[in-house]
Amino acid sequence: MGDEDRAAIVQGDRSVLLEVDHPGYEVARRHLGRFAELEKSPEHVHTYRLSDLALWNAAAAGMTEAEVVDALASISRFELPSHVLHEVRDRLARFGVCALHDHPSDERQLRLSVADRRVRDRFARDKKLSSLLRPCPDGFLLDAAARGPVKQAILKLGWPVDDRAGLRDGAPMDVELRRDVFTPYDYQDAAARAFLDSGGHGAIVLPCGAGKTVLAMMVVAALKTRTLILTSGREACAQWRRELVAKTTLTEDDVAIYGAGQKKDVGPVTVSTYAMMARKGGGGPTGHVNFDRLSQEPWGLLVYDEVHLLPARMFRLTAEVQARRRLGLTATLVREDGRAGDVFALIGPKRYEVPWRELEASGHIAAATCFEVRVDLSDGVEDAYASATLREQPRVAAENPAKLRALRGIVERHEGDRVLVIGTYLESLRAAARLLRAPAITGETPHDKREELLSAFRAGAIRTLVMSRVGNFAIDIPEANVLVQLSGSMGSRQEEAQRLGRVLRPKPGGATFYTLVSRDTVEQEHALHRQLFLTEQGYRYYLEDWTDGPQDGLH
Amino acid sequence: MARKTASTDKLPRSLQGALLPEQIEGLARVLAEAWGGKPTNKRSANVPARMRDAAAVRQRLDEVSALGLAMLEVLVEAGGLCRAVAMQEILEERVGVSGDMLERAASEVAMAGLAAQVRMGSLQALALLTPNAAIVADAVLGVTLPSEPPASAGTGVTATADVEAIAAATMALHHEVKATKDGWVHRTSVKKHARRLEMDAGRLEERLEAASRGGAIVARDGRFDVDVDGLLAVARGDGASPRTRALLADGPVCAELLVRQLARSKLSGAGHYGPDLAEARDIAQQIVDDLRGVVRSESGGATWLSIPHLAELPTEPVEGFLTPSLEVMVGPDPDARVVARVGLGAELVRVDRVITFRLRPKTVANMVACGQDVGDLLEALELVGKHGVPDNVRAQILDWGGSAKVARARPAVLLRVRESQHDAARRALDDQGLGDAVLGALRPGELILGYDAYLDARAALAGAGFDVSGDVPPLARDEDDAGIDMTEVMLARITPPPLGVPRPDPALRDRVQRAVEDGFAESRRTLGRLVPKGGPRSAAEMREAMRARIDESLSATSKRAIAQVLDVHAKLEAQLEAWAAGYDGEARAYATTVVRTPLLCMPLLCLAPKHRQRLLTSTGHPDDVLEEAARLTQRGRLSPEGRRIVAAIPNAGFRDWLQSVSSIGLAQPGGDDLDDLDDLNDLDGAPSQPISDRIAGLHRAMETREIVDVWWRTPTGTSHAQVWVERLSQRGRRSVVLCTEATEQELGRAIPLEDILAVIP
Repeated sequence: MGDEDRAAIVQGDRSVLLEVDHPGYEVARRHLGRFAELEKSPEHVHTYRLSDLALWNAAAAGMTEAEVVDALASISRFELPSHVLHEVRDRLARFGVCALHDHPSDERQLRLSVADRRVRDRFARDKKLSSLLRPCPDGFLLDAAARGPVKQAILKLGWPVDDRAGLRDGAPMDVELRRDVFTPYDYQDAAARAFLDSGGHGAIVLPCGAGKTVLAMMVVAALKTRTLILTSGREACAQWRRELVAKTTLTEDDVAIYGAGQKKDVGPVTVSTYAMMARKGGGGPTGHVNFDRLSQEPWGLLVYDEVHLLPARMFRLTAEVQARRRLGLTATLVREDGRAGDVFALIGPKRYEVPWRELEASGHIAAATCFEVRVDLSDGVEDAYASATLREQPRVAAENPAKLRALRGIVERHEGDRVLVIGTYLESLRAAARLLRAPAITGETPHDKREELLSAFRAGAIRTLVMSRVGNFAIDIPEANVLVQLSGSMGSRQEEAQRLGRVLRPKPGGATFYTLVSRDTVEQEHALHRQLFLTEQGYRYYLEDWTDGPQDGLH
Repeated sequence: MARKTASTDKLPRSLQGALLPEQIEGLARVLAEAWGGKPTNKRSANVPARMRDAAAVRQRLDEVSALGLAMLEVLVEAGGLCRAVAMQEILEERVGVSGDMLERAASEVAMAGLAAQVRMGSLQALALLTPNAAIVADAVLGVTLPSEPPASAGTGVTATADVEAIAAATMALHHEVKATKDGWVHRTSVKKHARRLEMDAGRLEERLEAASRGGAIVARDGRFDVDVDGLLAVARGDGASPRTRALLADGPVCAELLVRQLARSKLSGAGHYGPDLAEARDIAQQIVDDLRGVVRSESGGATWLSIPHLAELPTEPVEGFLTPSLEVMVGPDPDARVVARVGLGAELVRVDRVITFRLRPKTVANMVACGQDVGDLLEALELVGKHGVPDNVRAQILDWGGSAKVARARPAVLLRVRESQHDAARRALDDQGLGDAVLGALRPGELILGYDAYLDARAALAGAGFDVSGDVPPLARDEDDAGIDMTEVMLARITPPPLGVPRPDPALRDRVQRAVEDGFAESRRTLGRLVPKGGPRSAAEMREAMRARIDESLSATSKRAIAQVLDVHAKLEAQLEAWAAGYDGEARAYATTVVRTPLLCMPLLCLAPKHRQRLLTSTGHPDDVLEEAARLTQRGRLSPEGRRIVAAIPNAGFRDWLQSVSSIGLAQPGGDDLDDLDDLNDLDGAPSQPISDRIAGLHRAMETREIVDVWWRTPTGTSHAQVWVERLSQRGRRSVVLCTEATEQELGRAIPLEDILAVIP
């Protein structure tokens, strides 16, 4: 194959454009998967990045500099930019310079070996590191408790730490997958293998509905160790428990929920929420009562569900548990606060990812059609919007009463479907519930009531359900096939993707996603940003104008 | 009774510094001989009139050798005055003739009354003469250029457009790209953009400068604006400046022509004392060699340039991708036309092998605001990649384009008449075919007129009996072009040759072309005949000329001093001539002129013999010798005669006389009639232009937003710059102030109209 026939174009910023329809795509993708990170995967061109983390992962997996460069050159249509080559070599050379080891005689300490004297000097001069490290002949000694912060600080200086210090195995637990109930998909097998091969810490990125819970169960079953699962809310805790009991040999007694408002049980597998972990109090070492209580347990694995939601306060707590295996699960590797780097420095780098559209094409998640429905501001609201402050405008636009008429029209259009209506502002959600004569789940809805409504929806007794932000994440409602987003949290990309994820469980006929946007308002700009993650994954939003009824159909 | 000869009683202002009075005498004599007048006639008024006679001039041109014609062509290119050294250098390169032949050709054109041999400082020069300069220019400009473009011209290799520069230029539509007051890219502000694009700041600056040079962006109000037409033209492969584009608009032209015109433009700003033509040609040649976006072809030993007439957009899809996430990736090897179109509607994100843009509501709105249609953008996007425009992208663009709020301002004139006369005013305009000039009516009696049509509308209304008044900027046209009083001007500073392909007299061109081919054999034969016998004027003739200028009103002391000067000059003639003969080449010619001109060598005449002897045997430059002589005279190293001469100088009559023959004062503009100012148009190399043209030019420039060359008077001479005309504000009855943003001068320069000499598009 001549140079001009190759599928990839390496750009000067270390991004790699890969033409999907190219005959050389598969080969190039296999190569890139080993040392580059998939950033965007729209329909015809995928963007990879030769990020530091991806290169270090490649080095950790044993790839040499020559192998990376040769592989890159073999798929690149043009000569590789010289500075890119230089940076690739430089980054790869940094791997292995710093390594963490167990202390030969003192388990309360770890040894950081630094092979390069200049790097050692630099660490010694660094204000933060010097407070954590004590010099020794080939590097430094550090407290075992400082393992996370030291790795975080060294990574910020541009060096990866090869963490060879031991991980606690945790108390053993007898658990098997119930393969009579389900068969894992290939990509789930591959993801589990990638995590286990990496040494036991890192994140797996799979689309919503792609079976991240099953993947976690496969890891649990492989490690056979006591496991703490942290998730976003109580409903999700219940779901985890339900799934674990259904798909593994664990019984209800083996899976405890450590949650608010109920008995705080601890079992071989314990499911809790980020909010519980972050709660302050008690006289423990971290000052977080529940964390201090649970960290005493002999966990061999921590599972961070929806890891992109990890609250900032949890960063420090996560740094405390570096001696345990850590599995992060997410569908959207984006954070609007820009702290994605911190998350993945502490939980671990991305170990496996499958593009959304790829799973859609293979039928593992539902094919979704997305619409942005533009609704004019109601007469009275136009003035209110015009006189609103910049801060107030998003809310005025979100609560545009005209959206309710559009909502009713859409629900009527989908008669017979299972429709979820989701939004941010409670007043308009309540109005929507009244209009549609549908029940609503909000933060104020008691847990039992929520469970009852969700069960009724799953069973088909309720065909339309209105939900506030509590429905954003980790709620498994596989029967829903239409979702109408009445309003959203400003320009949050992950919220948009997670909400779409609520209807992505595979089903015949696919899923339909509507987002209602008030025309000529700040909502339009927010919608554009919200859609960015999904459009970068290859989803298309069709614009629909709605006045009293849809005017133009598809543009 | 003072003796005043024809051409020196009211000396032409433009001769100041170029000719000594004695030389003017000589010139008058030569011109009189050439054009059939008598030098001793009181005003020889008939000589300029004959010089203006086109038929007579044409006859002279027929008589002049081919080499003489080539020389006149150079003279025209140089703006009417060219140093002998530069002339020699250019003609040697252009027609392969040098040395003695050129001296004889110079004498020939001077003897023919078509030019004058003058002195510029210490250098010899040749100058056109105002009365017939324009006729000569029209006839000879282009005589040494190939006549017709060959059939193959225009089919050569197209220089590729600078895609990066085009991409960078589009950035100016969506982000503020600051410009310095001189119109350069603001380096600090570029850094910000470079960081955003992850691009080297120096490279980005370079690309923006290139875009600016090509006319894709223009500096205005401290920032760069995209010139959409310029950008698209550059993207089509025409990377040349608007001037070059205009020049090549009608078809292929010879590269040499472009070099000459560029060289001329380099000179025009500097007047006669700036870089000489040869130097300017080198610069121009370099510019032409580096020209982007022109098709070059070689034919008949000449290079021909033409504008590639590419389609607005390629006909086949180009490599790239357009994603549903509104990213547009063009490339590798992107087509500049697509990049330009996409860049107008999308924000530049990255310049690399693949150039990346992002479509945003604001960028589409910006595009619509600058007059582009979303259809154009979609058409370009359709060409990106093989998959067309995703439905959501198309819908978004249409939606954003449709909801863009755009307002455009244009100048107009509000015309108020009585309500009852509204229809009459409309009729008056309709009758004169100016119905379209009425853009609308606010209410009965208030008409909105197009600014362009105001003057015509005003005339039409006046013709219908309306008394039109108001404070509309002074658009009044002067019907009568006062022109220049030809009898007052002898040496011409002509307007730079107009942009465009010159159309010389075909017969003259054929003659020159044939001569170039045969090595000017004919010229070699004829030139010998035309050279006047006796060569330059003798010392005795020069003394006679000076004697003739002795005014009767001078005191006896002064007259004695003058007589003393002339006597000493006669006595020392042999010694001074010997000194001059010791030099070579131009220095010798200069020294000869000096020693034969009593006033120039007066310090030498006054020196004590031993000091004079020492100086005349030194080997310094003639100017150094004269300077040293002046210094010694000031220190009293004088001969007895010299002492008497110097003693006579404080005498008021003698001092005034000396001053009058060595320095001619400038007349000041009279009254408040701006037309009088035309008299000053020939100052210091500035082009001449009637006032009506100046005013019209300023208004046109302001309206079209094009750069114009403006010449204006400064306290020390003239200045010139390429400027944007920003505003004209009225001062007094007929005086206005021109506010400009000069691209090469400081911002917001205000120039009173009375000081403006010419406005050249």
